[in-house]
Amino acid sequence: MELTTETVDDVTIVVLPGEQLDAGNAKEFKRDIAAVLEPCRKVVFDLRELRFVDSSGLGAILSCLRQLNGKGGDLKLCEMTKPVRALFELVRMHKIFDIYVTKADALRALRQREESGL
Amino acid sequence: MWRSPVRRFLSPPLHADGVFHSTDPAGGSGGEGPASRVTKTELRRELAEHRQTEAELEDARNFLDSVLEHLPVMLFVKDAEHLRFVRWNKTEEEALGIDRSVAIGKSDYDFFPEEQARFFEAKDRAVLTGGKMVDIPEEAIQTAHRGLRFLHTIKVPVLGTDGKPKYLVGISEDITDRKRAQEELARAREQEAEIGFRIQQTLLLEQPPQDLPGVRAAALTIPSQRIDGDFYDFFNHRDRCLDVIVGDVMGKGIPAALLGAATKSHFLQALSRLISLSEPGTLPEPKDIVTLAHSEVARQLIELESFVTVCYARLDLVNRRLDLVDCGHTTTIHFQAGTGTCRLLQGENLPLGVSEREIFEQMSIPVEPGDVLLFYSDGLTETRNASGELFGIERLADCVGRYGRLEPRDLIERIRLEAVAFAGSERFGDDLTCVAVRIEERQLPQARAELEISSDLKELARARMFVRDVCARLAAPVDEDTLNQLELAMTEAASNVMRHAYSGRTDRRIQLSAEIYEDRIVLRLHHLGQSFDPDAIRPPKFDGTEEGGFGMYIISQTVDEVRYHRDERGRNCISMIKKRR
Repeated sequence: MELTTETVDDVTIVVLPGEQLDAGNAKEFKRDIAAVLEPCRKVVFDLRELRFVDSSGLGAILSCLRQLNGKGGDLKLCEMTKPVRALFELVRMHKIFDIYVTKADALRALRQREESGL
Repeated sequence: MWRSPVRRFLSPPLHADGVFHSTDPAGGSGGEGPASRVTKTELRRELAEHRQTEAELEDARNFLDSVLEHLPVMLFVKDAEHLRFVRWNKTEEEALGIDRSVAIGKSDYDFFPEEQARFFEAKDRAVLTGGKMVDIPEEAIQTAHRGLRFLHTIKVPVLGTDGKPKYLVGISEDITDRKRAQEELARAREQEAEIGFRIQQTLLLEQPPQDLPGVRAAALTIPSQRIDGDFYDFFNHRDRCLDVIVGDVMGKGIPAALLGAATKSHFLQALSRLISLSEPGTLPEPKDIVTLAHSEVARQLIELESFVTVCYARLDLVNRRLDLVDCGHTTTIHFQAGTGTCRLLQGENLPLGVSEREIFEQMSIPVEPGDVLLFYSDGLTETRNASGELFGIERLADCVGRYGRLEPRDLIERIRLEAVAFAGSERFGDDLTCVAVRIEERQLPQARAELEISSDLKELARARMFVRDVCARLAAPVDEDTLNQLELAMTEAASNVMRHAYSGRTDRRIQLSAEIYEDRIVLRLHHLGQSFDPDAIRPPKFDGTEEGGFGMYIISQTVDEVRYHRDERGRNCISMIKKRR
């Protein structure tokens, strides 16, 4: 799975590729994203491409959160489409993840967090 | 003549050799005075008498010895003070494998493990202190040559002339074999119950069809200790008719169960034979099916002096009619949705196996959507309460009248609860079987489609596309939110089948089907993998600590109803139903 990243200051932005993240490709994503996240601490997932996520896809994103949290890092989600948002709410993951409407909102939140010394 | 020595047996001391010795001649009362006062003749006479008595006593003792020695029960005597054996009969020798020459003068501690010896001693002391006979129904004893044996023992204290315990007599019977036989019998009974239960579950009781357009069916079975041979089965005729057959064999246990299974298979055979003889598109009449099945089983039933009550019901879903052949079975209850009342349906036919020349009559009753038919075994109506009153048909019909509008499975649960409350017990003397069938509004789907996919997770996208495509065929489109939820439900269900039912194998097949009705969308997945037990799945964790376990929860949240069942072709089927808004 080809993962393109963009770095703004010390924040890594990953645009999750493809329209779907389901049991059919979640394993592959999990493996490839782990390598990308390895050197990062602050990460934003841009989900604008994703039209469909199932429980396996959700599990894969959850594993990213845990990987980053485990080393004191941070993961923000943004640009979520309606059906993906619906799934997150269905399994109450909108309470676990920090979800922002736009990429700018997500970046601002990471910066503010730094300024407030958190 | 040996009475007197027997009485005396209880008082004279016994000697270590276990044989009675006289020290106090019975005729000794006359020998008090000095010999000088007695004349020689008198003395001679007395001596002769004495000898005579002695001889008689000796005979009596030998007789008694012989009796005790050859008693078929174990007999021992212990002295009261030290509890050492002073007598030990032949049966005791044989039973314990200890010769009397070894036993006499010894105590229990010399032969048995300490724990057992202590148990024996405690009992002995209790007998001696209590001064009364004690019956020990069962005691274990470790024998040298025959392993652990079980004895039934009676211990009796023997008092001396001073009124104090002098001896302890024990009589034991080896009950090991009897005990084992009883245990064996209990095990055999248990096994029979288990076999009966298995026959019942596998041969007699079919699961009602879960996913038939036009009917909803549910069944209940509560097995009793000994099965009754109740049976039921369902035949679906191309979704146009549903045949329900319920039966009850006279008698109990494995014979009844086997007879039930045989009768059921004769019905199946009769049905398939008549179908093959019928004009295409027509079905054989229930009365003809019963007649043919009966002709096959009647002779055997009569020879076995048994009979079977049967109710063969055909629900014609197209013509909204019930055809019923009742052969002495319990009265069928017909809940009429229009009036909310119950009608009792009873035919005139004799049970199968009563008369070889029985001509079976069939009755026809119109039915409407919402109507419920309740079939049951007499185990239900003949349930008794504490005061011996029968549950009865009125109570049952009343219950059906009250809960007739519930889903069939909820109706059956209500009936079960009422029967349990009435009987005051969760267990019943007879098997309790009950089948409820509700007629539904018959609708034709607005769209339907089928697709076969492989069990490869890469196929999930195709499964979603299938859902989207069938929904796109409708004149009035399905809203996007509903569509997204259907896609999710289909993906999660298919993914479960691939990963769990097929254990990750990618070369198996899954058949998808979709039917869209005016008020609902039905998605089905048919597979030949491991069946699910949805109850075994625990709810997911919503705190982010676990990455998996959301699948079943997502399905339950995105559709209105999920059913796991076997379809008519024996495949496992997951049906998901979503109401349309």
